[in-house]
Amino acid sequence: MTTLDQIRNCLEGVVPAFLATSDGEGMPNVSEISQVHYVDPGHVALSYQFFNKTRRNVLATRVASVIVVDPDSNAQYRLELDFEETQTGGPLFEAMRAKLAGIASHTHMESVFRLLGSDIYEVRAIEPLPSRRLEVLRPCNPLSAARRVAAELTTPEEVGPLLDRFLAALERQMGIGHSMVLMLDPETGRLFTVASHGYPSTGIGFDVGLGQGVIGVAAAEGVPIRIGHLAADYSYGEAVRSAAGIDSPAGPVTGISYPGLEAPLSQIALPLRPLGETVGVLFAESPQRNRFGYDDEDALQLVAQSLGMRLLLGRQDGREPAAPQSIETASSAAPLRLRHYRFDDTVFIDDAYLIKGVAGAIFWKLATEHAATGRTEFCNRELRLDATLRLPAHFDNLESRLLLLQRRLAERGGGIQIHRSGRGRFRFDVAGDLTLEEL
Amino acid sequence: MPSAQAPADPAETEPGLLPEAQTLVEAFCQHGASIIIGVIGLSGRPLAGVALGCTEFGPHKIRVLLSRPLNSELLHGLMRNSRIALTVSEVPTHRSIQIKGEGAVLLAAQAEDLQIAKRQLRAFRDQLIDAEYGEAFATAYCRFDPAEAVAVEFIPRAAFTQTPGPKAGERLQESVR
Repeated sequence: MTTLDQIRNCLEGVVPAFLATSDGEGMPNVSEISQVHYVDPGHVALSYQFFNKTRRNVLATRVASVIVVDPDSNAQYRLELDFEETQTGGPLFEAMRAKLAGIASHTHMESVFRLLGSDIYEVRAIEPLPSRRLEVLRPCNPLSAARRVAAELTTPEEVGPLLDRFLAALERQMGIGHSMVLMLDPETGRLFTVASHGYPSTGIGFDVGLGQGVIGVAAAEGVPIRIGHLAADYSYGEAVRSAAGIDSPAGPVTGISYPGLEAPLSQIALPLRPLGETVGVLFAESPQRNRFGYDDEDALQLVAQSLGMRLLLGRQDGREPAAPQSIETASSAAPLRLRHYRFDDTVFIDDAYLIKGVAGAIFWKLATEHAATGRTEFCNRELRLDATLRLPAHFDNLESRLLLLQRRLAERGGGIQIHRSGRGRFRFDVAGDLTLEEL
Repeated sequence: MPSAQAPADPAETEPGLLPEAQTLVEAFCQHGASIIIGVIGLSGRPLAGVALGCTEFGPHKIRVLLSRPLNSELLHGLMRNSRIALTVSEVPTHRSIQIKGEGAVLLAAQAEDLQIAKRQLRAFRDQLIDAEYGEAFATAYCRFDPAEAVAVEFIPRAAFTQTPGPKAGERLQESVR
């Protein structure tokens, strides 16, 4: 018996599906539809875009028949469907909306396709139809590749280098050459980049709003979001930035450039949800159309779950592995000039933007204390207890903020660096003198 | 296939079947179109099917060619309930016309049917390749075995625009005014 899981490649929206319904008097209706979405082994969802004859028929008779076609093998199936309900929001709706946007872009129907609802159907039967089948060779087994990538997370390494190695493993094992990890700051509702792979600039510190584009929606809804036909002919400043959720102005002083591809065709964003709470997003993209299918989504979600748990473990004070390091901090003859803006904790080093927000406040605390006392050893706990940093009591996300700060300093490569010195402890290494200015 | 200029007798033509429908469908098929059908199956549920070509499109008679193995259940249903829906879509523009009809009968495919269908499928294959579906897929999708072809004739009763958008489902007569 053919199962829905076996034919998921037919449900990518590459080839239109053919939907037949009938009215209450037994007159059939047939139309092409752009999206039949896999929900679970027993259900699909069809996009509801207009209140047309098809819609009226479905509401009247609650039955339908749809033919779906595999865009690679030309395998064809007829599905017998029973309508159950319409969803107008939530994770499934958002996943379908993103996918539909991609389909619309590919078919030049951007101004027409707009998702009003996700119509959920029970799949009562699947009938394979005779067709000329093409042989399909898959480049790799996504599940096996996921196992090898997840194995990279089992080493007791610092989070920063671990993320770099993890993203490199995505390329080595799964052929994903462009990827990022973003962590969520629940206080500001923004996701900031802490690691990237395959781009000319790292973009560490670049942030995306919760709910914006594939990255922001994946975080907001806690569900993988992918798009297979991102328009290549859109200008860089419009579709690509918008699709990635970066349509809000970054501002003149904190403009860390978006590191992503200028003309991606496929994007996927997977929420990191250890213990059911979103802490970040794993994002990947490709210049290839329909690069990420259902199997890739499942495999990447598995490694994203492993990554989420690993990051959660790294947050636990006392569990962070000791990581003594050789300290290499560039020495500087002239004093380093630090400027701090109190209103949003933005920090500049020698007129170059470094960081803002809580991570900026942490940096300023370390810098002022070092300048006053020469102190270099600090611990996470004292930062948590410092009321001036205004860390939320419930979920302070301190490790993510420290990671972002550490990576920004490392990327800058100047005379100030942060290095882990033990469990829940770190060194604030400064080569030379500091000049502080507060505005 | 009748010419687009063939006069339609107003007395015998349903209001929805305007010459425009004829012209559009003929043009779509000539340039390569997706042709799908809907019928009511033996169980009383709707069934979707795919046609090989539309070999005759007149104000009083429409003839389509189907693959019998691909549509066996659908053809059985059609013998009990002769009402049928046919949608023809132009690949590059997505412009679509739906015809609702009745009195469908199953007939043997004639040599002329096969020639027309072969020509239409060749054009459809080219359209699919232009739409970046890939040559291998387009060729496989448009392949047909003449020995398996069967013709279905029906009487058209109404035509509707089916182009994706808010006007999909409107009677063609209204949409062209």
